[in-house]
Amino acid sequence: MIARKAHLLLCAALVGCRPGADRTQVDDLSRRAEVNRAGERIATHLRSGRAFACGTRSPGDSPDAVFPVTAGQCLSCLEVGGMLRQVARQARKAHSTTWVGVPPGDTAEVCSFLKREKVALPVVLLPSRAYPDPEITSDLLYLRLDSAGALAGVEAAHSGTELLKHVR
Amino acid sequence: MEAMPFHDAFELVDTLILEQSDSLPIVRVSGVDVDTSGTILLSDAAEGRIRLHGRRGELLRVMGGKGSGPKEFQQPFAPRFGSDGQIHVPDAALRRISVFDRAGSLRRQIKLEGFVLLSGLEVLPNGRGYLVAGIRSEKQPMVLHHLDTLGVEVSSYLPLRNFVPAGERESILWNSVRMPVVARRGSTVLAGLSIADSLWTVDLETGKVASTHVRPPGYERPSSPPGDVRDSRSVVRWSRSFSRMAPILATDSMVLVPFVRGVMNEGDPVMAAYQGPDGRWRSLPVTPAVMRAGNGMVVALHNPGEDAVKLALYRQKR
Repeated sequence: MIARKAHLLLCAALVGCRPGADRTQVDDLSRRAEVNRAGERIATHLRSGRAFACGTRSPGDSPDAVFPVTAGQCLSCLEVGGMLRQVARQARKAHSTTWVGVPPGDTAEVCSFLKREKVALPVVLLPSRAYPDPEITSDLLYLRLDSAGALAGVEAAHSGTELLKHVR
Repeated sequence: MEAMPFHDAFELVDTLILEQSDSLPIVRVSGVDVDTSGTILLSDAAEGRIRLHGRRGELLRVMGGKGSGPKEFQQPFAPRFGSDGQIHVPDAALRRISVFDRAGSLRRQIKLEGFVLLSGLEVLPNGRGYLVAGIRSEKQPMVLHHLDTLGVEVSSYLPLRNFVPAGERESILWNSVRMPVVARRGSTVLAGLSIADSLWTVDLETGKVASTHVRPPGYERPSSPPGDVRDSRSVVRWSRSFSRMAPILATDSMVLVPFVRGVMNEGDPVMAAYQGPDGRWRSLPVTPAVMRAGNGMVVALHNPGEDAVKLALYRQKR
């Protein structure tokens, strides 16, 4: 019993994606509001300028979709690599432009992770302050942008598998 | 333990690049096997796939895919060619063994009831079942299990007496690095625990158990895990700070016990304890990312961490 419990904890800590402390402390409305605000902050930032950290540059100037990730999410959740590979395959098929976002302090770890996981997507720098407040949510985000770069939709999920269900 | 260069013990015979594509990449190699004809069997834990490659690296067949369905995998590892001509693949997450024929048809699936950790597999010849390295949820957990072909336990060996190294405090992080490993040499089973430096031998015929220390110079014993298990960077740093026993390789003429500081398939440093034909243990301070031994060859990842997956085939020097 102890071993089973310990293993489940391990999955939450290292292998699975962490749901985060927010599951019990923050209500869904507050979390959703913060996700929307973060989506707007990121879209605004990308309209004002962009610098790339690593990855394969896509031919399009404007992304149709952005997946902001952090080093913590990549290192603690093995699903992130699989999700982004799937996203990259879908983007190639649909000829759409998809970027991964990274906060400047996480560039080395995230770029190394994406290389190791064979995720061939451009990685754009996003200011840390554009990300959701980690006290409110540590969910993975998926932003859809229109041709003018405005936010067309934002989805959040605590795991890569869950987030993939929203990817168009 | 006397040190010797790896290339004094093994000579490089061949290297080959495994065929892959954008839609069928090899991302995280979690196990390799080679049969007598040189066909290569490889598991990719990230993509949930099993791949068969020809002796020149050409892709022959792909089985599985990420998922939990009958022909799918979550974390396949240690795929094995059985003496029955079939392919046996354990899945660490789904806790089952899938058996395929060479044409890629799923023949059967064996649910491994009660296992909370599954980390090694050897197929016994003549339908005698499996040797499974893993931990079952039971009062006195054992690390080595002999199961029949239906997954029913025939016998178990090696009680897991200490969940953590001596003097260390309990932490759930130990579970991420504490893996039993197993290899077979005839009727003798070699087993170890990744966070220890003991090599256990079990004679399946007599049940006799013996152990020896195989600590090469430079071995770093496990240090205390970080207090905050949610700090991913500290956890990764910690997991790379000590030597971990990796899956053991064994043939009639040698035993190779690799120790890695980090992750074998990411190019982290590997050293090994090596017992050659003369029976003496020596240390191999710089060792390739060795994956499997058999048919007189040792298979290693030639350039772990790079996009092109290249295998190196070594022959033991006499």
